Amino acid sequence: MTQTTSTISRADAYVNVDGVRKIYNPGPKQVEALSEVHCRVREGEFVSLLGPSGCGKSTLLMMVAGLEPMTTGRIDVGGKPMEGTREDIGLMFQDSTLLPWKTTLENVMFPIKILKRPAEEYRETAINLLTRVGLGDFLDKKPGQLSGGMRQRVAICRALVYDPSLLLMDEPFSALDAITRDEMNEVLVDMWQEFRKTGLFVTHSIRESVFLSDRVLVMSARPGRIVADLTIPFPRPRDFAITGSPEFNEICAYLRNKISEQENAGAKAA
Amino acid sequence: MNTHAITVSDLDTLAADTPAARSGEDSPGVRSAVADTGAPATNSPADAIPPAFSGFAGRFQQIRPFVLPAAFGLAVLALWEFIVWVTNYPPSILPAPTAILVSLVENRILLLENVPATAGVALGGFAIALIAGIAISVAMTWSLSLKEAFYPNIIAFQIVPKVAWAPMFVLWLGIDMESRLGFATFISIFPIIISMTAGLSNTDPSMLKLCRALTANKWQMLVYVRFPYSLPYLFSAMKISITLAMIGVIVGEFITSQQGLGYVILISAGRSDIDLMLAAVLMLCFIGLIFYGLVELGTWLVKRWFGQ
Repeated sequence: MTQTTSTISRADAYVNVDGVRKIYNPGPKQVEALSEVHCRVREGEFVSLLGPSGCGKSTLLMMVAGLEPMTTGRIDVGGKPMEGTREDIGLMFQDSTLLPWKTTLENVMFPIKILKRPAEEYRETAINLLTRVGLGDFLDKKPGQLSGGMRQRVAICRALVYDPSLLLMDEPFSALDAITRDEMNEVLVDMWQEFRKTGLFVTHSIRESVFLSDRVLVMSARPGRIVADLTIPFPRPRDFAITGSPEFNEICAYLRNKISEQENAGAKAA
Repeated sequence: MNTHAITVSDLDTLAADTPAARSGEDSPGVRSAVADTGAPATNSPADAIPPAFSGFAGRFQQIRPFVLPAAFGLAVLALWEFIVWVTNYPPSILPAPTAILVSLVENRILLLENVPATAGVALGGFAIALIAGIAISVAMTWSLSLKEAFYPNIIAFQIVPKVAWAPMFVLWLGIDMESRLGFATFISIFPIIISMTAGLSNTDPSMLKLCRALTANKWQMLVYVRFPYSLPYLFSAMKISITLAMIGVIVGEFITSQQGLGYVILISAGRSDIDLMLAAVLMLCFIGLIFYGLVELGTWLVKRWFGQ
């Protein structure tokens, strides 16, 4: 049942990761972080990269963002090879990375400023996005006055405001408490329904990956590679209630087994 | 965690046992039991809240940070006054605090006349150090090779006691204001360079990644991110730097000057007018406090800007 190569054709792939390896300190003391990763993501698809800490899933995401050089292989996004960073890609990190001296609205408008686009054209978009995530009354507040969940909502809006076609998320909710995390998952699933971007989401939470994704790619421990590719059958729009269904829990159990198989294999090899 | 073995009704029974703190959510038991991060609900049973401060005790708690240091300072002065008064200590060696105050009032014209020379040069030197220090730090942040070449030398140079250089400045820049300005700049620029360079390179790495992802150029990153992030570093350096600038000017005045509070101190010491000498020191104290207060005000404004 292990599918290491995706059945998506090259032409259908919006994100195409082809034979990507990452080796730190090449030489006798080299560390192989990623070994031969192949994966494809369709346009408008939400895919999670699920794996234990240190498996290189974040490294892979940063390579897709053009922020990290790859040792071998190539990555194409939207049919064009990644050679450095591009403005059609949006990013979210574990930390909200807001500028502490800027208000909520100014933080959301930050990409517009960097990209030198006309502020007046995007102001309304920014306000609409913030209202959409329930921050309409917090436009003039600074990050210090917001809760962790609110700050990540601002980060979602900031990633969407300049209308990138691909959204890359690096464990964006892992620093939040469990309850806020569930709330944020609902916010993200709703926003997804509305904006239909292509998404790549890195997480080590099985439930989160199943609830959010169209497809979950399981990564092995270092050196990371993709060991399972599971399509999540739940229709959209999705409601949080599906997380209570037996089907949902079966999928989680399946993925959990996949990960522990990998861990056992890794332990034997070591 | 095997969720199949536990039914929802079991979880509801479990939920009924949990503290009332969770009752605000819908189906709290199911959610918190199955969320795989397993973090507990945030509200623990209400901790004992300390009784609100009220009445005299409460007001004292508020003014405590001001009252305690003032009381301590006054107590030391009173003890000093008392010792001088009781032991009949020779006033030419240790005058009573009240005698210094009397001298300050009597010589106010002389003292005030000499304030601008000292304070002006100190401020001037500080301002040049600030601008040049920021410029050097920005340049070092801009070019890694410049930083690698320059920064270790600055650190090494900074270890040398800078006061030892004062006579050099007189030699190079003459006995007028220029040498004192130059020396005040020299002595006060190091904290600015060191702190500012640290501040500019200690920006949140994720923030810089985000900027790079947004295709920001170096200049945008500097202006929008690095520079504002380094302001708290800059202000803490300014507190040290303004004090050093004052030291620089006084040292300069000791060497060459015909005016300024340093000159007053030197002359009054020569005349054994210790009351006037200490009155001039007191005056320096006031100026220093005002400068320090202004930097503190700036620090407070920056903190407020940061939303803290």
